[in-house]
Amino acid sequence: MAEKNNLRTELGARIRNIRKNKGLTGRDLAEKSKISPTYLSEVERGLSNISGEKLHRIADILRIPLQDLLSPSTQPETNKNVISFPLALSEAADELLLKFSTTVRLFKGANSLVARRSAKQGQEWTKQEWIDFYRSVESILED
Amino acid sequence: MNKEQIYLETAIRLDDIVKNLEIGKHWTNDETQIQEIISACMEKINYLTDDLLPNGELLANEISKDYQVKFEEIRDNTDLDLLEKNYVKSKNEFGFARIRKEIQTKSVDAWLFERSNAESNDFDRWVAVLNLTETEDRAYWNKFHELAHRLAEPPQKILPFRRESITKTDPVEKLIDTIAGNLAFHPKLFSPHIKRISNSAITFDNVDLVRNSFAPSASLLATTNAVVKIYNRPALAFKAALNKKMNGDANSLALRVSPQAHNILAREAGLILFRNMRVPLESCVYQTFLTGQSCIASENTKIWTTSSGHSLPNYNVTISAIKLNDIIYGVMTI
Repeated sequence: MAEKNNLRTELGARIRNIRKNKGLTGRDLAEKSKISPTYLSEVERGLSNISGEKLHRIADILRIPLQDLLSPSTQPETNKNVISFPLALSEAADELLLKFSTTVRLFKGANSLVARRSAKQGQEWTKQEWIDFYRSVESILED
Repeated sequence: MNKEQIYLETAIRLDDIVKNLEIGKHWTNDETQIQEIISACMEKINYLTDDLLPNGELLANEISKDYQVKFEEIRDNTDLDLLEKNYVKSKNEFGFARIRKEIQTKSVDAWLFERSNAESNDFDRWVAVLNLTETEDRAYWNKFHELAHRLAEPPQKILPFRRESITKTDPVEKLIDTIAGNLAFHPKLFSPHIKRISNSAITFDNVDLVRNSFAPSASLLATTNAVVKIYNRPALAFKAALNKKMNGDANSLALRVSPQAHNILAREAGLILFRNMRVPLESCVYQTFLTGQSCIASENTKIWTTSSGHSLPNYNVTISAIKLNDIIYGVMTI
């Protein structure tokens, strides 16, 4: 029970912090999220539970992924997923004798590119392209 | 990713857009739903327009601030060096190092990054890098395209499969383009500029006036289409270039039309050009093609005929035409 209350308090504090950082008053957020200011105040103080649907609306108004409200970490959810390397990267890592942690950083860095708008369909990277990419960021990666 | 996976991903993303905007549960691909999607996106940003000067670039800035998108523009190596300094070296965002090689292929218009080291409320959590090394023409449009993605798709669902290359024929991209067109020329901000020219027919000189006052970075073509769509008289816009008949007949090379936009008034009047219709030799459009000189002329649309003998309804119209890089751009107003 105490653990549940702690989670509720943490969630409420996160909502309040992000709201304030965005310069929104409690009334602004409540109005835009279609909930009452009193209820939002209770949620922010950890006194009331909140449904997934209302939380989703709050996340949308705050322009942040729902996961950022639910999780204390500020890292996007995708960073916590199990990592499955492309074969070409694994081969490149073997050839370069990269540590696992370096390979993970390289992969995550490359994956921060979420979309490329192009007239042509892109191809998956070859081993050589992963090696070239590593060389271009090597000095920073190894810091 | 194979074709089935792409099809599935597209279907999921279209459904997600519909759910995110609270319009329904599934994408139906009908005009009513598309209009609802556009309205829902416009509704999200309407409060930003309340005290805003009627300027498209200011609107882009306001939406990007609110939706944590920062735009970077690359025109030359100096811009690229600065981008790498600011993101790769200062913020440890390795992904940005990919651009230097990719920009050489010249086929990429824009890259969208979700910064891996960003805090959840950073103003530059998403960074859209625009490739302006070849042309500035699509810069304005591409900004609104990226912003339309942020407005329409749930933040936690944006590109969940990390499909890197998106072709312009993708159904999600087509929908996003439609939303972007409405945002880029937001009626509330754009209409005051149209009022200034609404006493006369549309000409490219007028369109240029509108463009310079509303959004100088918008392309002339995009502005022309936007003016046509909300003009208070029947109007249409077209391009024309040397083309064969659609059956490929080698002897059919002629100056042929590619319709670009028309408004509801034009449709109601039956003033619609057909794809690949020949431009009449008597039209000033043809003279512009031959001489390169822009023209404004009054003509009767009856001279516009198809090879099957159909002609446009009998209207006296004002035609304005210009030639840019061997392509003719034209506007017709009743």
